[in-house]
Amino acid sequence: MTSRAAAKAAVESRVAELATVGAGVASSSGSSAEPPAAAPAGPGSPAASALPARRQSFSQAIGEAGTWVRAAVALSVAGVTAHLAAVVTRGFAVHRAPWGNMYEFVTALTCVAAIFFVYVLIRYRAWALGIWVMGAVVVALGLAETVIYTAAGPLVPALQSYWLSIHVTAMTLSSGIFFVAAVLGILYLVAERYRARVAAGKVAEGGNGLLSRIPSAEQLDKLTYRTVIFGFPVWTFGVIAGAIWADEAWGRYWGWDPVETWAFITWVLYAAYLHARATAGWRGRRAHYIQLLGFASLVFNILVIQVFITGMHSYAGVG
Amino acid sequence: MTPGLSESPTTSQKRERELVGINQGLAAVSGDFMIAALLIYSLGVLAFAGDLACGR
Repeated sequence: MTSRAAAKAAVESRVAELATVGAGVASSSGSSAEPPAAAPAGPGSPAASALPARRQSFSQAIGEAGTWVRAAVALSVAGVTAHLAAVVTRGFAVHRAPWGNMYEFVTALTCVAAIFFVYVLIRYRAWALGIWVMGAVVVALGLAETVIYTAAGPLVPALQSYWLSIHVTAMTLSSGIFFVAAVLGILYLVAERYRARVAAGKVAEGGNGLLSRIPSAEQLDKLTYRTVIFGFPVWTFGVIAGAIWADEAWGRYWGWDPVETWAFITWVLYAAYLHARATAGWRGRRAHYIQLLGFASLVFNILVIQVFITGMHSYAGVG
Repeated sequence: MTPGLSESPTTSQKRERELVGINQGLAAVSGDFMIAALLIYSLGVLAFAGDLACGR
């Protein structure tokens, strides 16, 4: 009887553990979505200035956040407005969706990332994430402007189809969202390592000013999960739309072209992350490694496969 | 001179014809907006850094 009771308790514990996975997503689908749980302020938790509670209104929160944060948020919103204006005017200038080559794709992708992050910033009052995510946006946009800049020009004939507005739009949206998720994933790994070091007594809590300001690993984990689960269906739709376009243009849905193959690998890795996130023993650090591998395969596809490997998708217009 | 050859447009002529459809003025405005966005984002990042360094 004792062993049966112990087994039952173990099963109940496991069920309770699994029941918490994705709880944030379920709540986020409703209109009164809860913010990531307040960070435990116990020892080893870099939660001293983690995401502020969403009990207060945005105006209250921004009022209390200080001058620097007010300026940073205002500049981020202004930057997003200018960025969006740049993408839209480029579209009007070339009379098509403005993501027909590598430069346009990266500028649109970073625009999506910036818009998505400003939403996260305002919704979760995630001031402490601003320097990291917006910093990554600045680096990516700076590289696009300096390394892969392409003057406005006509579309290559192969891309002159309404499917550009469907397939590439979906890929641009999901890539921008995955961009934010990747930065959050890296921050999670940093926060997790910092927490472990604090717990081991190697670092005093709050000893590292920079690391003690980022949200807790739990908050970053939940935020990353919500971000990926938002982008994953869009990526899936983009891959399916691409297959339908391929059938129309080339007479086959799937030909294992290098870009198609890497898009599929990326899909598998993000699906594996979502599965790992729901599997005990694979959560946390391991799951985030898978998520980052997914983003690495996405970047590899954009920067290496589309530029250096000749295939049916060689439209980058670089070099 | 072969009439057929003189009438067929060269690659550069085709390219020029395609570029006529591009609104170069609007494209320049787009480029300016993009540079402005990059500068404003950079200032925003500096402000976030200021919060980390000097904020509460």
